[in-house]
Amino acid sequence: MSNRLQEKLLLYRIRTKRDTDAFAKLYDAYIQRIYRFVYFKVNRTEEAQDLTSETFLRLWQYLQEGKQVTYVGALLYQIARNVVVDHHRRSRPGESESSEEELAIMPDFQALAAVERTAELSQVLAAVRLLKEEYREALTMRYIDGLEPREIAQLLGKSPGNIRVVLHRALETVRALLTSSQGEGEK
Amino acid sequence: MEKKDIVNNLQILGRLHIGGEPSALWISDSREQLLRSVREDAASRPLSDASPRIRTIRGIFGIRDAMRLVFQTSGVLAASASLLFGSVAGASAMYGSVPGDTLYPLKRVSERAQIALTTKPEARARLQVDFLGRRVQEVTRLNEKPFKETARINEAVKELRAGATSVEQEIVSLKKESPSDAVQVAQYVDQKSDEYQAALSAPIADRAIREAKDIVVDASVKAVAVIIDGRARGETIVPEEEVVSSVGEKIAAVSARVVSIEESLSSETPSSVKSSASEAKEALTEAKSLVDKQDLTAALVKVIEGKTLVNAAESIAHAQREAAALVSTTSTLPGSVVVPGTGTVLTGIATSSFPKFVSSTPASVSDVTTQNP
Repeated sequence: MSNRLQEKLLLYRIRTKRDTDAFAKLYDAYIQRIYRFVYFKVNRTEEAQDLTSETFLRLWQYLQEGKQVTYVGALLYQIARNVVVDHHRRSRPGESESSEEELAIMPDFQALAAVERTAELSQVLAAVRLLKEEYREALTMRYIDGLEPREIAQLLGKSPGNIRVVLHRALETVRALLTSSQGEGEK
Repeated sequence: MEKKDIVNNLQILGRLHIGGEPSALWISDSREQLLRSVREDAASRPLSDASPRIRTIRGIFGIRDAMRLVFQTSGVLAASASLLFGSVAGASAMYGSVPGDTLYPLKRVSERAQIALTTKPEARARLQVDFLGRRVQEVTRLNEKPFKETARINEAVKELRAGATSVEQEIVSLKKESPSDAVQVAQYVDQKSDEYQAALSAPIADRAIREAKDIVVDASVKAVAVIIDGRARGETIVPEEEVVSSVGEKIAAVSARVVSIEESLSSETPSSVKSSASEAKEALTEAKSLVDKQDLTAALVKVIEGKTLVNAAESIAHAQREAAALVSTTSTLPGSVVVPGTGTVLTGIATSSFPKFVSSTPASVSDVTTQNP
């Protein structure tokens, strides 16, 4: 059975039987992707965790209201986007900016300090964070979540061709950013 | 750096927390917490009947899939059986939680989600009014506990105030978009506030209840102001008798508080309490006469004036009672001396020698029941 059909069956069970186990399966399937999607928008672990939980809770509420859902993945990304917007409205401006201190205390970052590639990775990460939202979303979905352009297109409501163009431009922008920062470093 | 190196680095980042990889511990904790709250929510919602079920199937699968699934009887029969025999009642711990409970943040998140998902402004405003009722319940629940936890009660009152502000903001924004809807919501607030005030039935001397009641009365007075304004602008067809009756109810509610103050007057009551109560009475008498003259706006202004004076009188009386209680408690303790005429207590005694007396704040967490009601 295809993933989409499986998801439809899960949706049916959630909406008609309030089946929480089916909801758990949706959670398992999407938690990492949604967390990452939110994380790149708020850049703080605790905020990303709270907002991801809120996203799933809103999904549950939405499904209980009996509204039509064609693709749960696309709906989840849309809810996550709204949750982040609401969060930014609630919080003071600048509060959600990532800080150098936070990066410094992240265990992975410390572990990576011993690894030669740390600088390269942090440069790529910094460049990805500088990208406009459309590019960043497509890039993380494609190369971090490992989704095919066709799947990304469904999730973001665009055509696969459009996604390929966005991915190409996003990679070019990252490369340009890295080249310019390298050039500045050499000066 | 070449494109393939960028892609390679992105893939490595995906496996690290800094690249947005969630911690496994958080995933499992969050999963558990989320499922607990959705289970509670599922238990508190009745299952829908058959026709919405078929609509649901069509909504999800499309008509062909729907027909196939409808006739796959096992699932449907099981669902029907659960409809007929299943028990869907049961108190929800999440919805019964109060500030300070573990589940309380989830309850608030769930409410925020409901509000965010409500697209119609009028429905959203009504939802905020309903949630205000929950805040009232939380204050009363905490206040009814044998050991009063001041910090939690204060938090509940703070939440109630925030809830009243949200209702007010919703009405203000609704007024710009659809004045007639704003008036309807204001009527709903007025109607619900009677219910909420009745729920806050503990003695008015209780500070938290007094504050909570004041927030509710304030919300209802503002709601009546919106109704009166809507009528004056011709934005609503609320009958005049209904508005007169609403203003009359506000006058009666504040008057009852004046009577309660007057009944508690004694020779020790500060003169400011007596004078504030008397001025409040005058303002309310004027309000009544303005209602008789059909000047509802001016009457409401007088009600607000009376309410402010009553609040002041109650606050002074409450502070005086608390000071008297403190003096009487400490004066019975060995080593304490009350300076005559001033009420000042000289102590200089070891706290370990104090007899145990009931405080509004528990001495330690173990003194407090943390179970949900």
